[in-house]
Amino acid sequence: MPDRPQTDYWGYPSFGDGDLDAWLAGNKATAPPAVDDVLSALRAGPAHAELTGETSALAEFGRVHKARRARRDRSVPVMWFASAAALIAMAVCGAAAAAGRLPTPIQNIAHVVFAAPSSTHVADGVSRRGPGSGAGGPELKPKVSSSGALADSAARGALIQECAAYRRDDEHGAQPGNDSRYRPLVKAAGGASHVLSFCATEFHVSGPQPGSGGSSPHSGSGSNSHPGSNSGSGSGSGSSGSTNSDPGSGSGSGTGPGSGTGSGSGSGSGGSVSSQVSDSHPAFASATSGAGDRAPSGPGSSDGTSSNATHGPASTSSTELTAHHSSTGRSPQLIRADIARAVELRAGQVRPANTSALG
Amino acid sequence: MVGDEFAAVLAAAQQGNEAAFSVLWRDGNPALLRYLRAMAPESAEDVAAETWVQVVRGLAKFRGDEAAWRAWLFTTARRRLLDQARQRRRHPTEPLDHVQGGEEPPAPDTALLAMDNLATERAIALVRKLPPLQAEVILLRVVAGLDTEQVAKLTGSTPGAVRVAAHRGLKRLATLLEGAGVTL
Repeated sequence: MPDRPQTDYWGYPSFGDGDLDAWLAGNKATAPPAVDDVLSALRAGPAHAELTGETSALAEFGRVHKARRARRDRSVPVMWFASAAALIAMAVCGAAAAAGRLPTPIQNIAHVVFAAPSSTHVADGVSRRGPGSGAGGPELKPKVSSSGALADSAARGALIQECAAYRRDDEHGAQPGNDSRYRPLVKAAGGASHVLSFCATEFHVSGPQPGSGGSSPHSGSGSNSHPGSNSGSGSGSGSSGSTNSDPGSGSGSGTGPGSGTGSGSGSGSGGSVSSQVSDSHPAFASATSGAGDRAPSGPGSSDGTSSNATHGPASTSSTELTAHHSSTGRSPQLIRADIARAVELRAGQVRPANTSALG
Repeated sequence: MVGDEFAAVLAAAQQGNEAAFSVLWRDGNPALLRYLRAMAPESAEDVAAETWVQVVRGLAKFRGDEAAWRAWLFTTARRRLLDQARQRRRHPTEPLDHVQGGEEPPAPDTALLAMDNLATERAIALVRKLPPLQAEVILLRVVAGLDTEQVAKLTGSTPGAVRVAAHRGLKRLATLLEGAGVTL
């Protein structure tokens, strides 16, 4: 085919790409008439035959969107249930962690992460319900201070346990104020120097009925044989409350009117009957007090005279044990035996004997 | 072209509004069919239907203006065209012969032609006489309304090659019209 001149047959300039842009923009004069006709025919409006497939296209469109909506609707209830189940599981685990009921490794993790009671505190015999309770020992009924700051019973129970352990460590000279385990307690008390008074005033224990000594051997403390204990200096019933959480701390027994910080020595449930109790721990003497022995001052032991009753940290030193020995006339060996018995009672393995028979 | 309302129409269609989708379909299907009838006259309707199936499924994820929408539509159609051509090569029971330049296209069935569409059909027949790249470039620019860059991206060419192909195709078209004495 011969080459055409730059102008076309009709004398129009060659219609190139640039001319096409102008033609598409609306400048029809740039194209030869025949080309203009062809291009205009290509861009003509829709013919009837070109719109016949609309029904099938709309059907496909509806089907796709219906399936998408169904998938979305199905996923919503599943998400709801999954979220609800997760929340319930978290609540249950949280409550268990606060109560110290999780397995030891998990409880320790919860203690580190969420300041839940540590497993060691639980294992220290700060039983949720001391053995004494089972044996009719002192009921631990911590009373929340009027401040109302401890409305949550689970948190309050944890702090009660912490108070008992804190008191024990303090008596042993372990300087618990610096221990990270007691950080929540220190925080609640407003400082390490206020922990003991906080425990004494914030938690109160209502011990067993007077003379119920039998409720726990410890309960005897204060109730029977210690007039002082009844003096309410705290014989023991634990006014100190905080230690009530530690059944070992024996709050209960203190039948004393008092207030007695009583806690602790526990006669009964006697927190003191933890494994940590040493021979010199006067608290256990209180355990034996069920037998009428003068409960050592031990932490809140029933002995009203206990220094710890109300007024201060229980003095549970070997000196006191000696003093107790001298006051009661019982030999240290017997005292140790009583301590061991108190431990067993606390563990709930042995039914408390009639405290009146002791000593 | 949908024009200024395209964004609203697209959003409604993506939400499942059938009326909005109908607007998009009525605007795009005639151009799509003309392009496909020029590129693969035996299977234009099938490829168009498959193209719209793909578009419906991907509509919710599409993001862009009207120019991007038309580019996406014709890109999808071209891919379906190539897939069908490959399939026919593997199973040549119904071979799809691509129109080669210079070959006389089969005479369209006059019974199928509507009077109002005669000029369009003749125009398509003329474009089919052009070399494949030239025909495709002219169709994508004139029928689909795509610019040079979009056509280059769609065909896998460069903008310069697209401009050259458009220039030569229009020139050849003019020659064909002159030689055939075609009046539309």
